[in-house]
Amino acid sequence: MGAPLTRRTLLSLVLTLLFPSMAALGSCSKEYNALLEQLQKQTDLMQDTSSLLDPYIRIQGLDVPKLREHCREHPGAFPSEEDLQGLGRRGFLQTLNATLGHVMERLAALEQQLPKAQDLKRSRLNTEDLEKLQMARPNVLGLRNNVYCMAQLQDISDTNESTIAGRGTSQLPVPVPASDSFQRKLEGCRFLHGYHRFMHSVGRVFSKWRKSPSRSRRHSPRRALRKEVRRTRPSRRGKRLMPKGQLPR
Amino acid sequence: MALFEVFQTTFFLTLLSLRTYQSEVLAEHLPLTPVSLNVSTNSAHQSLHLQWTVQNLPYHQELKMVFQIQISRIETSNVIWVGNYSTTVKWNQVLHWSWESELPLECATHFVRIKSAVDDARFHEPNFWSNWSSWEEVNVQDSLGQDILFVFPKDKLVEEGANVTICYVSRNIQNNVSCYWEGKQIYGEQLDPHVSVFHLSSVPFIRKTGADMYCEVSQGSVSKGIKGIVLFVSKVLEEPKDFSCETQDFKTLHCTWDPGVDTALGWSKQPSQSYTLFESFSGEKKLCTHKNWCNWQITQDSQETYNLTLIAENYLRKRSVNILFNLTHRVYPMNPFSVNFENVNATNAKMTWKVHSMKKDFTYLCQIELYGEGKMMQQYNVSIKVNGEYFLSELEPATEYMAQVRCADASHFRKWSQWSGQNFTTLEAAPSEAPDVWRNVNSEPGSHIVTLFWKPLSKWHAKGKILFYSVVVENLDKPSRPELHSVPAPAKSTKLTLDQRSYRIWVTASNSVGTSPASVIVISADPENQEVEEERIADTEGGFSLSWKPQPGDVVGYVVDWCDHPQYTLCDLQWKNVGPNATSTVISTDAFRPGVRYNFRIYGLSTKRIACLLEKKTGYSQELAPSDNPHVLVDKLTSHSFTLSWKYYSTESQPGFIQGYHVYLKSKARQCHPRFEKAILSDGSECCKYKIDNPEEKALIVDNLKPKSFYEFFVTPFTSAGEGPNATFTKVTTPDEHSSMLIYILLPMFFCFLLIMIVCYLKSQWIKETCYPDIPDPYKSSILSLIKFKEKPHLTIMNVSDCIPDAIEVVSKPEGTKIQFRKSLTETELTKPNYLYLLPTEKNYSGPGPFICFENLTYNQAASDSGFCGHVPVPLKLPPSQLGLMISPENVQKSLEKNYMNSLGEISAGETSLNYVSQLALPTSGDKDSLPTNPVEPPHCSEYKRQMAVPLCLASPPPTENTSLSSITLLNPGEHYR
Repeated sequence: MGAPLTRRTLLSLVLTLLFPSMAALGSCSKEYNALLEQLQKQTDLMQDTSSLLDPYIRIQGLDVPKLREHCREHPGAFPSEEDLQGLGRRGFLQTLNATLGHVMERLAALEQQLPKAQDLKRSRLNTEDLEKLQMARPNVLGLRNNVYCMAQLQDISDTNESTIAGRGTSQLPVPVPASDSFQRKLEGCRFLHGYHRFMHSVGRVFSKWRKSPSRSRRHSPRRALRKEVRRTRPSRRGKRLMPKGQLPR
Repeated sequence: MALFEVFQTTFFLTLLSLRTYQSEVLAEHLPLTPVSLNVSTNSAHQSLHLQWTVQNLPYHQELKMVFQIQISRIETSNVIWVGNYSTTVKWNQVLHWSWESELPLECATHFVRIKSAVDDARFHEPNFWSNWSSWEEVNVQDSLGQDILFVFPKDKLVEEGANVTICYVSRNIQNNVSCYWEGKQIYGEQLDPHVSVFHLSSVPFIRKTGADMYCEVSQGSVSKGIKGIVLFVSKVLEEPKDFSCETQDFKTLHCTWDPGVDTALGWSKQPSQSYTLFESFSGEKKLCTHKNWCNWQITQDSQETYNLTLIAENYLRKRSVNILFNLTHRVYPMNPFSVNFENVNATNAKMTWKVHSMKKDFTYLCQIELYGEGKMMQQYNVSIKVNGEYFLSELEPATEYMAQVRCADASHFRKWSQWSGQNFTTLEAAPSEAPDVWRNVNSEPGSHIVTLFWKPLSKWHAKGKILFYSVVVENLDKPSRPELHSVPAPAKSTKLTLDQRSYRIWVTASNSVGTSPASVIVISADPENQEVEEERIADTEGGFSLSWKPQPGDVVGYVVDWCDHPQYTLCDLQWKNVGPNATSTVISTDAFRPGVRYNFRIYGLSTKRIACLLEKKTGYSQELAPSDNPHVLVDKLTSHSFTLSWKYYSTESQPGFIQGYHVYLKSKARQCHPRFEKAILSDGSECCKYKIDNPEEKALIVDNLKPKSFYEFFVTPFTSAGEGPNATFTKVTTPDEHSSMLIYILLPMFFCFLLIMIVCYLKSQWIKETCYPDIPDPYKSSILSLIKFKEKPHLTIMNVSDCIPDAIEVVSKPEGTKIQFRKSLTETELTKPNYLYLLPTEKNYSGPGPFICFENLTYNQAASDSGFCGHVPVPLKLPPSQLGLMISPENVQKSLEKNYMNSLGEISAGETSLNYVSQLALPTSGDKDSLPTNPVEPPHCSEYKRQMAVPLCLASPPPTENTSLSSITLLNPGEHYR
């Protein structure tokens, strides 16, 4: 009884969250506050380990204390909250977008390691966890679309600014491909652990945006951003980290 | 040239002979030793791969040889496996051989050596082994790297139930290594200080992503890392079940099977098992894309026999199942189509259908099923070629049927096709049965109200939809034209008003095709015999068993009628026809309810179809306890008895036959009265009980009671099922024995008093005149005529000047009367009460208010003599403070002064509260001093003195500093002070 309900709730939530992100395909919302609220909701959803890490752990059989102890984020795998807080808005959005791009790739790789849903069904095994994992990529895609919209709203999709990339941690450190499935299981676990932590940090940054007085209606976000741009002009001017219009892949 | 040719020939012959010799020598004397032994490893499969060649093998010669291989572990002397490998060896051939180790190769150094022998039939001499090759060492550990811990084998794929050996290699023997299998710690055996081995036997399938075995390295309590392996345990591949193939068109074979458990694993370690069809006669093979079915194309018309093998395969196992069959025996026809019905009438129809053509001269066996009213009515089998038809007969008119057909290969029956069906409805026919008719006759003066009832014809007899019922009434006593009444269906009754003659009534039912036979009933001119006594009957198992005395004379049968719902106005009359020889029947219906009284009437039907009431029966299907208790009246209550009565209690409307009543009586006395017996109530209390066995006896005199005693009673009826509902006891207290005597005394006294009062009332005028005659009205006095005569109509008080004095007396008025007045008042106020003061009654009175003081000095001779019209307050029995306030001389004087002023002027219309002061006694002489000093008009006293209205303020002075409001308002309504 509970399982279908949870599934349905999750699905509806995802659809709700995806709905504004669809704007990326057409037109983005011009409502800064609405968009920010949406981004926060998405990060709230995606920092919840029950949406991704926990199902992964159950599917891979890592749900034992010893292994959970070793399912910790690799230092440096994701930008720290401190780094994110230190970024300007432009840099933050670009870092977030880039990180989410890598997350998408890693999630796709993780999905390949999973058993097929139809195989599970044929074997009369529970597919609920698998379905949760398969919802992860659409969730990330939805968030990326809204990040794109926020960037557009702030007119920074093609501007340069110091990003985590610019500070030497350009991409998620690609782990050395593990030679065996056990190590890959653990790597996946660590990656997802870091992913949830990262989304938590992103959520906190967004919450500061909301609290920031510069976000009031009297202060145009764009104007505030321009001030910020002047303040945090990137050193490597002209280098386009992300071609315009390519944010949501 | 010739010499050269001879030489050449000789050379070749020599060489040939030499070679033959050499080979023989080699074969027989030189050992064919394995050389160039090379050992490689395959970690994934945990196997050693050996390659070698054979030395001394003759050129282009094949020899069958046997190689013995020895494998040692850790050290050469520890041989763990010895085995032979036989093969045919060619010259210069590189030989390959593999050996799978149960222990991961990384966990121990392995050594391999080999020797050989000729095992060829061409050599009859006994074989002898070559020398062993040198030991080849296989050490994988050296290539592992610098990690602190390794666990092997990596990602091994095994089948469920396999035995698996796992080992770890620890670089530092100082480290503590703990290993876990699926979270549970396991312990192994140590191969050497760096290597431990774990044997897992009969590993189970745990999950598709593999089972985890991991080891944690720690130094002290500090974890230094974790390493592990995933063991992919696959389900055992099952043999496909229920493999079968069939064709519907001789073009395609459709094969199906039950695949069993899926053996796919995650991490792409093993896909789902694949299925392949292989036909041995044609040698064709087809990889199936579905897990449980596959189509095989029939290409050769000539091939009738097929040998199909279904092969299921995964990485670990291959399973196959085979069927051999003749194609013509595997026909599963397609469904028939175009099912139709032709020439449908009331009882017959022709069914037609078509089938798909298969082969020339192919014959179908078809099965037809006919369903009506949800159940199968008929079943037929018929053989056809392409078009089928069947004549359905013995059908019921106006009935909807469903006919369906399926077909199979008539020559080699294998399987029926699916059903193809269609509905059809037969036509109507005339009703075949007369309706079952009964009647109820109510006789009224000069007429009979006859209600005819009939039961709807069954579908079987109606043979169509009944449209109306025809009622024909024929007067038997007076030749006349029969009356026809048509009653549209679905009515089940009609009412006729007939005069008191005999009538014969025909009732028929009609549908669209025709009319049913008639049902005849005769209404006799004589009224129905109502004198039949009603008899009570008991319910038997599942119904009422009725019996009656047979009617004398010829009867064609009996009819028992009753109402299913006798409690309602439309009681739903039912009847049952019984044969002429029967004298009993059982009436049973689901409509009977417990607690309902059913009345049965038994009629005999004469040959003339006249019904004669024979008997009446009444009873309950199940008697219940009474639903309510009677309302009991207490009557004739005396000090020693009272009467209980419940004469309005109806015994007929109860859910059982009332058999009597129980009267319960409670009293303080422990002993029950005569005729009562002790009983225990449901609440455990004791009481006395009296049983009345006659349901019509609805009163009881309870006597022998004690006067002035408390009794409680409760009356409840009872049936065979029990008593009525529990209710509260009614309380009765017997009166005192003497109270009746008092009544006998008081009542006449009351009447006497009443009589006196009436007499007094009637004689009131006389009494008034006698006891208290009317006070003469000064306005009606004759003296007024004198005033009128002197044209001073405005004067209402006679002045002295108006009088004709006979004599004049001059009275001197001394000074200080006021002081004397005060003094005298003070002195006399407590001793000479003269006035009745009525003071303001409102408790919240807060200040001076108007009141009127009337003085009646009519008969105060002294006053009139003195011309004094003041008054003295009544002494008050109040606390001094209040008293002082009330009777302070100053206050009184001021009030009087003011009073005089006001009284001689006009009294305000708003001064509505009046207090009346009535003179009761003569004022003292001192009172004279209280006269106002400045009267507007001197108060001339005469026989009559004007009554004065005194404002309230005069009687109750306004509050001063020393007074309080409460002192004024102490008086309550009704309180009087004299």
